[in-house]
Amino acid sequence: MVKKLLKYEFISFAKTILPMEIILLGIAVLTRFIQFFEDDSVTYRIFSISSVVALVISCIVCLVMTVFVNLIRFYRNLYTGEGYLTLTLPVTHHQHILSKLIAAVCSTIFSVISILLAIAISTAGEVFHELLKAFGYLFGLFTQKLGADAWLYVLEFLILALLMTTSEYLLCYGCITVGQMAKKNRVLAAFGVFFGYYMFGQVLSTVLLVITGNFYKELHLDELLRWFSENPRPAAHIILISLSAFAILMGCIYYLITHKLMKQKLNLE
Amino acid sequence: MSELLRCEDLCKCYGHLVALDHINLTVESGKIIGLLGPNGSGKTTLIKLLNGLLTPSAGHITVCGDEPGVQTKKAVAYLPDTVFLGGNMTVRQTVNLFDDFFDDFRPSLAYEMLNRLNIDPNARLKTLSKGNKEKVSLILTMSRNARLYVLDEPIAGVDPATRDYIISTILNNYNPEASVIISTHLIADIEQALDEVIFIKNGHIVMQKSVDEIRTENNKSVDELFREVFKW
Repeated sequence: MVKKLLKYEFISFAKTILPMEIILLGIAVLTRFIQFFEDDSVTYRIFSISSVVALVISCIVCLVMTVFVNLIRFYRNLYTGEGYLTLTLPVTHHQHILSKLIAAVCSTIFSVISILLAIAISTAGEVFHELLKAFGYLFGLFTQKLGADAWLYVLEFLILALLMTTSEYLLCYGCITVGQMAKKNRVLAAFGVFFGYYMFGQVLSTVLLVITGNFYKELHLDELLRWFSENPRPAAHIILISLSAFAILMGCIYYLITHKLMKQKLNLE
Repeated sequence: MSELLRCEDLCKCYGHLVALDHINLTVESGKIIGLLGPNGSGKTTLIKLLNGLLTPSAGHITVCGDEPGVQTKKAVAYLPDTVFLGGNMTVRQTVNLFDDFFDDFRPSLAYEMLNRLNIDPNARLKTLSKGNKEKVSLILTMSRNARLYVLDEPIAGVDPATRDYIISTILNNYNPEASVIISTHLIADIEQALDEVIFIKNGHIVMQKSVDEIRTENNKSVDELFREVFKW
């Protein structure tokens, strides 16, 4: 059933997000095309700067809209009138959440790839060659200094980025699910829950920072930091893996909250 | 006749508000049942509970012997009292969606009914009139070969001609071994089709009787009895 749900998710993706990405790539091609007519005229400068600004804005809009469209789709399919159909399909709540999550993460990755591709197209030629050379040089230094660890860091970083994206989507799903329980202004309530949670997180981390600062010695943090500075390579691995584990933990909590509330506190319009 | 729906001491509360209060009810196969009651009596809450859209506060509800879940959703064809199809979809896409998810869906029957009503399968739902949207929803629901059809206010808000079409669609297309629960307060329009009625008032079942019993014992039509029971 997840396959069937995913089929409809990707059909929606093809109708909403894909056209945005095609437009983005079109703007990138246009930006590169304008560069062929390079001269010192004011007209050229206006066109050149405008196309670069349009490309930067399009990249930002593409990513933001991808996230936005995914969240709207989650809300609309499950908690508005459409929920009467979606939630009476012979599918479990787990399958609903998973299909939406997989589609959201895949479309976000696709958007990031589109943005990278747009940058590559708009800089195609000498600039792109120089960029690649610079990137190759920096990565060469990185691998030279860290050896085999360098690739492991890259892998750990990519996994962390994927887990954090997933966890953030699940956080938003949780906020939307709490918000739908409101009698009125459900979308506003979801935003309220998100910002309330964010503020709570900020306050909590500040309090924890103060506490750990005050009990620096008692918690043996000085020894830990010393070990980190003496062993930076394993320390970096530990930090990346710990952050990934934290993202998994938080993601699981958001998932369970979403599932529990969707099952027991559903409040369809 | 087999039992399709059973409620035992079923309660549903929304905070302090008791929507359903210790409901005991059984529905057997092969019947068209009117779930009748004024607004706010608990009809939609009961329907949502049997579709698994709400969870009971207390008591039990079973559909074909199972608690609401994936198995019961395969057995129940539900028509909600609201627009539940995405406006950007075409009629054909909604038929394909039902065909993908429900094993008992009969697409040929759906297209036959759409054709009879001159509804273009390639039309987007948002371009259809309210009446046609409701007809599409009903066609999709009745094109399933389900064991229990649950229709929430299927004839509210449509013109009398559409109302007649909807009632004839229900009568002609349901599986005779199945049952149909129709929630409505437009009793006069649907009375002729009903085998049994359930009167619900303030979250309580006040009567469950066959229409024949009402006519012979009470010497009244269902509409007349409803007006008497629910008189202010």
